[in-house]
Amino acid sequence: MEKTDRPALRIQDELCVGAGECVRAAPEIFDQHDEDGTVTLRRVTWDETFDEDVRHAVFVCPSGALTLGETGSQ
Amino acid sequence: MSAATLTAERFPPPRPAERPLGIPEDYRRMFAGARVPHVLLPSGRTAHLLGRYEDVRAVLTGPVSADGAHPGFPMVRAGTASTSNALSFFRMDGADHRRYRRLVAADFSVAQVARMRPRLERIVDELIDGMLAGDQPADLATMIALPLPTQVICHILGVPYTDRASFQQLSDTLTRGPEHGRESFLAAVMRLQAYVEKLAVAKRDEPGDDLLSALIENFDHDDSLDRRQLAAMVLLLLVAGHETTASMITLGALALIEHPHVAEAVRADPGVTPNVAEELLRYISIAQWVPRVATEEIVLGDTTIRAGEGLIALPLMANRDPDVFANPDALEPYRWNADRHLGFGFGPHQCLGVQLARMELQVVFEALACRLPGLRLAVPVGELALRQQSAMFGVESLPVTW
Repeated sequence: MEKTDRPALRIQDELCVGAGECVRAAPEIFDQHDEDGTVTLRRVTWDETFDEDVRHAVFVCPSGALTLGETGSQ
Repeated sequence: MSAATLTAERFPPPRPAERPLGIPEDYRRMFAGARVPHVLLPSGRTAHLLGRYEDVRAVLTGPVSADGAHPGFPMVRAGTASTSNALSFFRMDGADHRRYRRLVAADFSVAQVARMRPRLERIVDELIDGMLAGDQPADLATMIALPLPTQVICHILGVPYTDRASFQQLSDTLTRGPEHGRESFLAAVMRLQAYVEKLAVAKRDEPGDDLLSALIENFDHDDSLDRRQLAAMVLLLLVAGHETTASMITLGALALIEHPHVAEAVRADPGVTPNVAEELLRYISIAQWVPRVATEEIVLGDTTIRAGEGLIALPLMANRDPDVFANPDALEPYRWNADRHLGFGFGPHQCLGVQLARMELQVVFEALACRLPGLRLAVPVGELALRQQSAMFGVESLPVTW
């Protein structure tokens, strides 16, 4: 398996507009609040098999609520 | 930006003859000459056109305002009324936008939409049964494309489907307002608002398990919410909830007819349908223009856009950017990055109903491919009446046989 740096996920939920794109990209990691549709995490840690999905979730997030650090662990 | 680069352009430019889903030649020319063409719109206002994928993403997530009442807002045609007061958070910025949008966002969440799938499948089956039982040729737009999203948004909101004539016609005038003149546009807005307010009175007496009843509850118990927004939000959801998806279904059916290998791929492996829906969203890009005004200086390459200047993002051009999508003018069922398209826009204003629209499109495209394998146009493609001048591209009718 290719060795990669783990993505450091940052969530600014005050920016979230509840589009649900992160849930579509990484349904094992992200969920939406029942009240206002904004982002919530299903789990606080995950193994690297989910890293690509998390990167994709950050890419398709329209609001800027999700960003990635350069390197590090989640 | 020097005056020499400011040219008056036909906007939106016409689609190529006989190829309604093709890129206008005028866009190819404009973007061959400049990364960010600066044009004089028919309204007399100016706009920087954004056609590169990375530029559209950067600008729609950047320092821009969606407020149509802003003096620099790039209205396309003269005499167009601002939709700012009519369409609620569609034309708000920042925290206000998020606050009102979040009142309804959970009703369109991935989980909520997934629960609706059996209902969507049943509606689509009934609509196709109805078309098959009728005469040929039939108009796919009125038999399938419009009834599906209209029934769905009526169900979500708790608006009687039997009232659809009253808001379909009004919302048609609203989305194509400029063609009908400012007066009829404003009259349509007021009539739709009156309709929504009348509905709200009935819901307050007899609440249902629906979004309109929940919204009324919110507005009645939170004095900090602007009460005028109730009707404006329902109006926005009704308009955005059926016209857009209906256009995407009709034009998607046209694309499936014109590219038989795509429908063939769905029949061979229905599992590819979600990717086909994304590819059709990319290829068709029904939002013809997404206007914004810069609130701070924005630099794109050697172009500087000053605060207060108008910008128009062009999803069609971004979605055909060869730096992102290989062989962009081809419709490819298995395109690996089809879902990176900007067909729903991008930034905080990205389509609220994105997950619902996706599921409606997946269900209807799979059913069209599998149940109507002989679907074809009943008229030459050049005779289709295109909605070229509408912010949402579409076609008036799609006569088909099968």
